[in-house]
Amino acid sequence: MIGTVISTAIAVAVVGEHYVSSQGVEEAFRKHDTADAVIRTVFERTTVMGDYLLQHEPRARFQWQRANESLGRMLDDAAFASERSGATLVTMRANHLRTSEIFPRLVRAFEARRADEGAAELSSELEQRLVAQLLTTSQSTVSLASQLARDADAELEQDLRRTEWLGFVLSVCLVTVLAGTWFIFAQRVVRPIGRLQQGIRALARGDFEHRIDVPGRDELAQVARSFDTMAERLKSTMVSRDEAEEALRQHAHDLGERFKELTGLYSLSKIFDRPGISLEESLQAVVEVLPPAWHYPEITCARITLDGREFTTGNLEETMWRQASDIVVGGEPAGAVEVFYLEEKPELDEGPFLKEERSLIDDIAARLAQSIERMRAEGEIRKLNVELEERVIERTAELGAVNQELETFSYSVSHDLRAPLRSMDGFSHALLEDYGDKLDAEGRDYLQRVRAGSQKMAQLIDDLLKLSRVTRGELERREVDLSQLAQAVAAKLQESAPERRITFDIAPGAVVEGDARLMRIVLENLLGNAWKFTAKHDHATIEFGVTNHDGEPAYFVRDDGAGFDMAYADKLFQPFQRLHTSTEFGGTGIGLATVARVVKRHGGSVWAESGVEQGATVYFTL
Amino acid sequence: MTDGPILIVEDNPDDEALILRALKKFNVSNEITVVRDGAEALDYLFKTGPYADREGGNPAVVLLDLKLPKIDGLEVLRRVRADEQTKLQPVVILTSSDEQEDMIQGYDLGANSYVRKPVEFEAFSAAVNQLGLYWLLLNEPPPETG
Repeated sequence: MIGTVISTAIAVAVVGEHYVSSQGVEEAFRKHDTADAVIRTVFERTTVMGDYLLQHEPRARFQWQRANESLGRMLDDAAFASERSGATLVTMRANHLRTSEIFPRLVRAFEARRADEGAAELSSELEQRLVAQLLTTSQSTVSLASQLARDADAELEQDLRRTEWLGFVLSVCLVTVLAGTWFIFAQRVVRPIGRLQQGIRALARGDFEHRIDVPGRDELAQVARSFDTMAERLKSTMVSRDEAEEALRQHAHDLGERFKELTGLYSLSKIFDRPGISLEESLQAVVEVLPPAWHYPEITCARITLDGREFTTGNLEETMWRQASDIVVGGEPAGAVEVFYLEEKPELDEGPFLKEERSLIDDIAARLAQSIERMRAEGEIRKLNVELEERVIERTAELGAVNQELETFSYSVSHDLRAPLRSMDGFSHALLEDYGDKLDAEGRDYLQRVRAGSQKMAQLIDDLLKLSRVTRGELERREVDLSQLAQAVAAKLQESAPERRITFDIAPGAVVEGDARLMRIVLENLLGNAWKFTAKHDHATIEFGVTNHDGEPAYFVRDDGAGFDMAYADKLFQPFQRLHTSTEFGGTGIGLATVARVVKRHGGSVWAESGVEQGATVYFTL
Repeated sequence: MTDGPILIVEDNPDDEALILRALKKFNVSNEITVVRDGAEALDYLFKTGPYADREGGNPAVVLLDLKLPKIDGLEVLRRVRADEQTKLQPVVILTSSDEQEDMIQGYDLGANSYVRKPVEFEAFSAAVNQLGLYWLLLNEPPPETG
């Protein structure tokens, strides 16, 4: 503001000075011009007056008058500001008036004299006086004009001096204003900018406390205030960020601790999962993984006691910084897990051990208890398994031996039991043949009974062997056409007694999965029975077919023969059980037992339906 | 008719008597030699031990029981078939066993026939008769070698 005022003042001063000086200089030049023109015109007039006086030329008179008039106009037109010049001008005008009066008088005097030829030679005294007056006046005017010119020069010089002085003063003013302005600028702009810069640097360094604090209401102050606000906000942001970071660090630390615990628990559970590891080995392994799960692994040692035995880390030392948890197995304290710090650690809120570590040791003790229980149970099971296996091996061996014995027995039965029978029968026969005539009918009958007995026993032996053979040997399952098999068996039966009138009704296409040899035994027995028990009928029908029994095929052999009383049906499939006397129907009572065994070996079942003299149907499934 | 001897390898004297009786009944006139166990049978066939000085060649037929003292019938058969001298010797297994295993093994080892001794004398006699007819009447024994 002040700067502007001062600048304006200086500008006004400069313009004013310029106006004043130019006015002065113009007047000075005008004075000078006027003075020059006056002097020149006065000389011209004087010269013309000389011509006129000397040559008497009228032209010269007119020339003088014209010059004089122009001088008069010149003096009339001139107007000067300064008093002194004004006075000079007035005097000059007075001189001009005087000259203008004198010259006509001179002309009249001169013309008069010229008319009077006699006085032609020279001027009269009057003329001379008049000329002298004219010259004096002209001289005075020239002097005045010269004075005017000198005044003009003096005025010019004065103007110049004043302008110089003013220039000096203005320069001083300007310098002062500039200096002032610079000072103000520095005060208002440069320093605030410097502070702003400082502030930015401080902020860049991360000093969020720094404030720029520029007073005032100008733009810079506003910028500075905005900057401070920003710094304030940044600071609060940084503070909350620091808090967040601190929280994060804490969290990460906690996580690390949890991770260590988890790792501890994990390695623990892995130890017990190792196949074939003994309880002692696993406890030693567990005690080794304890310190790494704690906060200061390098100064942590541990001990596990179980049933009076101790498992320790190499660096065990009982200190006062101890943590322990009981191992409770099956409700009874069986031992303990202990953790010691080898040196004092800064007291935390919760004591030398972290809260989590206290729960961790309890977890570990609980886990150990579980694992110990499990290992003991597993050990028990293993022992039982081993015993069981041993027993199975033993039994299998026994069974093998028994089986072997049975084989040997069967073989012996086959060979050795039959040999004496052969002797009995053979020599009875020889006796009958060679000495029959020496015996009476009764004697021969007895010998026949010996033979029948031995033959019967041979049959029994054979059937027993068959029955035992049915249960021995591998079952070779493949497709068997029962219908075809039944046809073959029926044909054989028919062949054995062609005279019998039996109708075989055999359904075709009964194909099953089974052992062909055993299936043949089944059909031989069933069809054989049907054949046998229809022997007393003149005409009989024997049927083989398939029916549906609870959704699966049941095969059956039906006859319309003697049948049996269903009250004894449960005895039907037992070996050596007979529902008819051997005099009625032959047989050893082994046949249906054999059928039942075969069917059972195929995973099927067998049953019969009958009534006395109503025929019988035997069903089987496979 | 082939004249060679019949070798019966049978440890049961009753069976032996019955076989002899049956053969006699069917008028088999060949010389009949009976040995009581497998070892003796091999001695006879290979002319070793007590039979080192035996005259004559291989028997017309060997009736071989399976269940024998010392060396059993199947082993005798195996050795007979293994020897160059006797590998074509007709051998009929005559046994009480009707075990399938025995029958299969017997045929595997090269038995010419397998006959089960029935208890009933008529059947027994018929079986022996069949053997006699087949081996003694119809069958030409292999030519002597060596």
